[in-house]
Amino acid sequence: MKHTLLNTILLLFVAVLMSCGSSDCPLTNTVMQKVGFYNFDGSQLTVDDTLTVMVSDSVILNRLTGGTSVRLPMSYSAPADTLVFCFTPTGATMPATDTIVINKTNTPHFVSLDCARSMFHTITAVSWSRRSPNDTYTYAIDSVALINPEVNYDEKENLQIYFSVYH
Amino acid sequence: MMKRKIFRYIFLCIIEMAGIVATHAQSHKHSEAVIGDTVDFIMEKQVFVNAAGIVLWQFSDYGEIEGGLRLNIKGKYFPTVEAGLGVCDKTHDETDIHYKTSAPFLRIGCDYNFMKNRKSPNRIFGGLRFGFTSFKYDMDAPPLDDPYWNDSQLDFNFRKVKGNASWCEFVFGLETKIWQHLRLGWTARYKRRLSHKTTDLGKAWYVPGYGENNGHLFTGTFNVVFSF
Repeated sequence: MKHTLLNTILLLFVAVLMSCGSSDCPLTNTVMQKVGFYNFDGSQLTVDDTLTVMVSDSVILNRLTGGTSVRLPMSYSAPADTLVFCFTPTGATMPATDTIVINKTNTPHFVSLDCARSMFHTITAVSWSRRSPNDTYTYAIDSVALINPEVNYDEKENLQIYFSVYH
Repeated sequence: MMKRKIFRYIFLCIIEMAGIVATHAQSHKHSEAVIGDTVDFIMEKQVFVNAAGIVLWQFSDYGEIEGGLRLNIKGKYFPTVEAGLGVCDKTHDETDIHYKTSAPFLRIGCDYNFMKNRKSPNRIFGGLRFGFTSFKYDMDAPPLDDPYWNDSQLDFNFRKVKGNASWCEFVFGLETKIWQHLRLGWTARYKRRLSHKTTDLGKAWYVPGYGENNGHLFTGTFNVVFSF
């Protein structure tokens, strides 16, 4: 009787474990490229201007002030994204703009049937517009360095933007 | 999906309770060890089918149609070969991702009978299996619109994506003689994945013969055995 009871408990325990499911979904399933701001000497730069980033007619980053880095989305299927950085100093009514074009490949990613799908990207090339800063618009993008081409769930820095700052 | 999980759970409980009842019915007979009795080297050969796998295949999203061959070596050792077809055709209710595969698998292993009386019709055994499979799967889902770029979509249609996997299983089970050459038994199995192939897409969701592609999981079988 004791053995049968023990047997029963063991089997029910196993049956419960068989039917239990767990989810492997990542806690954050958004895929964004991480972009840092730097001076020429490699030190981190704080951009005091109000920064807005746009793609086509959409705003993907709205009025960031005092930022040292940003996380920006990437298109699912386009081979290249054109990002327009709009710098608006305090008191100015119009922004100065710099453009960065990011060439990439796109790879669909799947974790589990119960997890949202996502797209991973590999940055293949970066190009940018050149502008000189002045006493009104003191921040201008000088160059962009590709640090880590893989854009996935990892939070590693992908691009470093080096700024010319007017003094 | 929840209904199928509930069905799976209830069905597993039922077959395991049936195994307990069948084993208990026989436990009062032949309970004394036969000391000094001699046994043949190969006492019997067995062919078995996993009835639970067939039922789960019919009434849930995936299952295995499997059977096997087993030798009874001196009533102690039971080298076993199991083979079958793992089938999955599942669409998730919330994500709408559809996964489909069908492929054979193979397991090789051996069980050990813990009963002192080697000629007893009842057996309590533990064992080990090594399994492997190679398969292709299809996966698709409705396209996702990009929230920022209006003319961009995440298309999701993949055909014949290759996968393979190997794993080991720790087996515990009971088996009893029902009538002449017919035996029934069940096993509980702890499976541990040893290797699996991943692609740029990610890992396969279901592995034929193994189950949902987690690092480890628990499953079971309910075997109908013919011995001769």
